[in-house]
Amino acid sequence: MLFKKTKKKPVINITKGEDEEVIEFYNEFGVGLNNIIR
Amino acid sequence: MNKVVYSQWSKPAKDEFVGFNSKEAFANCAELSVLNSKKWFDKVELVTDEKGYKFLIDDLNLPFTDVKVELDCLNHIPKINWSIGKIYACKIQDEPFMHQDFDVMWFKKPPARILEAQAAFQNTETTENTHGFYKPLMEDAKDKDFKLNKYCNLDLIRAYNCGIICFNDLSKIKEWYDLAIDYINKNKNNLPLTPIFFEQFLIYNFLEYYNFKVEILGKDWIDEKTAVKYGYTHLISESKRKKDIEEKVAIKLAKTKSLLGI
Repeated sequence: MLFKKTKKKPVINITKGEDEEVIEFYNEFGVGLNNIIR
Repeated sequence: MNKVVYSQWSKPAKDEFVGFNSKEAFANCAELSVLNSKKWFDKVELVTDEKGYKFLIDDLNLPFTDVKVELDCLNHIPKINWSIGKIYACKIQDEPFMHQDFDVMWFKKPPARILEAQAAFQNTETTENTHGFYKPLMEDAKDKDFKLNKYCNLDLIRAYNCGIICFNDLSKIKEWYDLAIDYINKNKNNLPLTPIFFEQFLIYNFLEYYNFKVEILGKDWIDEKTAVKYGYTHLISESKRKKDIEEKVAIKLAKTKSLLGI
């Protein structure tokens, strides 16, 4: 329910394939964001 | 433990899709959450009021296995006390259960240590990040005669994040509710976030007072590695309003429904 007032920062970097496409999500303090992209 | 409980008390909500950008975004996340819960639990119950029933069942047709329309009895309580609906939903349970927020999803079966615990929660909240929320409420309580004061250390910030609330031992839940109601009835301050005080702060102290053996998924936070290990997602606060997250939830829901053949 609570959120931390800390500086926004990327928490997930996913590298895909040869192009090294990097998808960055900004956590605004969500937990387990990786689970919804699989 | 073979039961998940969701709850929605409509009175505090400014709109039906509390915290989400839109009805569609809420519906997608709620359906994804419920469908995944049904993978791991036979009973997936909704506790709500008449308005919530119309929205969640008549309109969205969320696939709960059971619905209890009981929360209209709380409508005499000021809407600022939004978390009392969750505690009431816990109070009326008669078997081990996990209360789960609509923005929480289990993509894997919850671990046995959570399912078999006397009580379990998402994580503790004890760090300086939460001081700003709890400290004014703790200081205010020191000058008052709330019944909950007997159970709480008002000098130490110790709380549980209640994204999930699990109980195998139901023996103390009614007393938790009664303490919360006493606080609500006596509380005259205008401090923000009083619901986290009688929900998250109180339940930590209350269960410690009774020496409950409590399990948590993570200490003070759940890092991504741990969240992936457990298949646990909680779209806390702003994260659920991010457009890219909304899109990923919609895609994940479509994949899930396809796999389930629905």
